[in-house]
Amino acid sequence: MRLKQFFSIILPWLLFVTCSANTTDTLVVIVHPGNLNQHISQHQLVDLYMGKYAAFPDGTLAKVLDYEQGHPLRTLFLTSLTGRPIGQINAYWSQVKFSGKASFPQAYQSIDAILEEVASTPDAIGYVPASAVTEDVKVVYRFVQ
Amino acid sequence: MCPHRRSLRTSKWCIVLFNKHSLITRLTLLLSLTTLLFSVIYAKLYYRHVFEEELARANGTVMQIGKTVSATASIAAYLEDKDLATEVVNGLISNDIILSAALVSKDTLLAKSILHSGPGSIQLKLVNPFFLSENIGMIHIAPNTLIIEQNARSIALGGVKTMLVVILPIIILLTTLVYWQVTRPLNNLGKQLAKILPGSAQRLKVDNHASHNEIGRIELGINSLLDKAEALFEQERSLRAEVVELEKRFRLMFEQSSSPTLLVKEEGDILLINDAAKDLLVGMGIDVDERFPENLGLYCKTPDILYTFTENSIKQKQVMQSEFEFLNPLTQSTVWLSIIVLNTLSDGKWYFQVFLADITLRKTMLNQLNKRAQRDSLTGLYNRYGAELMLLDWIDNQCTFSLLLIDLDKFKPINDVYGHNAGDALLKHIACQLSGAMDTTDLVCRWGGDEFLVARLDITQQELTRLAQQLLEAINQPMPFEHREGQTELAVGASIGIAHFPQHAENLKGLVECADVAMYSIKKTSRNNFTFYSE
Repeated sequence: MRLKQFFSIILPWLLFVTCSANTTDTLVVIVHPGNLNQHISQHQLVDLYMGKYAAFPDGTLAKVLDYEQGHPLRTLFLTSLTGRPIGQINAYWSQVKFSGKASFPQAYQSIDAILEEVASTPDAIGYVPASAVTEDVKVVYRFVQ
Repeated sequence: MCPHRRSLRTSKWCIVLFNKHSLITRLTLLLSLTTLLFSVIYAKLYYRHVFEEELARANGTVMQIGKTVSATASIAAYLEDKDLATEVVNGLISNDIILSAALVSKDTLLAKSILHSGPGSIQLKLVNPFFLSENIGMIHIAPNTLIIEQNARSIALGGVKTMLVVILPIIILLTTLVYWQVTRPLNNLGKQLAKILPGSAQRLKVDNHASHNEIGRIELGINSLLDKAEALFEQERSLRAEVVELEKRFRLMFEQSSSPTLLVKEEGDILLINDAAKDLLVGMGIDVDERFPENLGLYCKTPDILYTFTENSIKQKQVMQSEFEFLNPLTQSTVWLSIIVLNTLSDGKWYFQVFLADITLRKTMLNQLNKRAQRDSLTGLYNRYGAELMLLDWIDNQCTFSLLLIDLDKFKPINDVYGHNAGDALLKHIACQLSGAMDTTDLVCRWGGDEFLVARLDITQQELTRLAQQLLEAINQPMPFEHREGQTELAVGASIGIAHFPQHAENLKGLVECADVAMYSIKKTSRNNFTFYSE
């Protein structure tokens, strides 16, 4: 019953949020307000999210946050960031997984969880729709619509 | 066909094939060598072509393989993931046509196969999987040229093999055809030719079906040549027979001729000499191997005349005849030869035929006859003819001489009383007496009947007077004579008339007349005395 109640409340909201995000909002990359990096380039973002580097441009170690596989925001983010279809990116990861050289982003379920984690962790980096940005986080990259 | 014949034929084949000079062997060798040469050239060219093609193909394949792995390789280069790179390299070299490979990120070598050395490899750029314009590394792939070479070689060899499979039967076929169509007929022709005697009736056998090809035409040509040869031989043979016959006759004529004949070269070498000439010359002690006329000149009494005679004959190219006296050294007797030299021109060279004749007998007979004509048969003294010849000779030579004409006194009565025998004997006696009184160089002759005549060259009046007296004494010497009634002595006197030449007369007739006049003046007067002619 509780689960049914939860779904009846959460899912329509999620749908709304997703749809509004897809149609209206652009995604922004956020970090802890205390983070010294004011801006991160697309290339640096690709290197972070594709597991090449696990550090910010200034050299401080980064905790890369991502949504779980299949999340619409992740698909949107990664395709926008790399300009490749999501299938290719998944294939990339499946190849990389075996060697264990790359560092995988940590997967989260929701925007709120990301926001909360970024706000509370100084070296975290994540992405949310621009409309969801709070004062507790700092935007370092904004996708051009 | 019996096995023996078959083996014989096989051996003939072998002889034909292994004789290095035979056409078929040469043709086969030449064809084989040419084929070999072309095969080698073809193999080289084809190999090069195939190798290049294979190399290009291999490079293409390598590129394709490289492209296939380039996505993974890009990831490996992007992440600088050595494990993934090694996996990529191992995957690459598992291909036969790839010898070695290496994966390099921007500045570090991520993975490399053991054999990889660097040069000669194909390079493939790797781009950032997310930023295609960014080069992040390189794959080096070295194609396995050894395998490519091997492939090319086997392909080229295969090509050559295919070619040879086509060409070799053609060569064998060609050789066989040439053997059957050319070599065998030619050998056959050669064998037939070797058996044929030129000039005989033998001919080559010409196959009807082969008569239109080249060999057939050669055979026909040879046969027509043989026809001509036979005709010529026949002609030559009959001519030769004629010549032989003629030669035999001539030889017979020459050899058996009793007339000694020589054929002499212009330089004097004796070419031919018949038996008669040989007998004659050998009998005269003349060397027949010596040159003419020097061999004759050795024993000729007048060699200079002989040489001039032959020289003139050669110079004037005329028939010359002369007689020469020789001394036979074997018998020390005189030999007279008549020599006729006849010049003949043959093949641009001059020869002379020499005809010899032994005329000694004729010459002696003539001499004897001559002598007999000049002698008085009873007394052996010169007769009137002989005396006239001698005196005329003296007169011709302007000799000074005196002539004594002697006429016997009272000879006729002796003839009448004692007969002709007594007369003849007395005449002989007188002749003997006169001869005894005169020198051998003087002339003593029976002038006729009981008349004698003597003459002496270059005599003085005094000597002449003494001679006349001696002659009278000699004549007066009586001759013992036997007749039927007994022995008696016969004696005569003589009237002698003397005349001188050229003092008394210019010719013989006149001189004799002068002597006659003087003699008659004695006859009419004193008798048995002498007197000189006086005008």
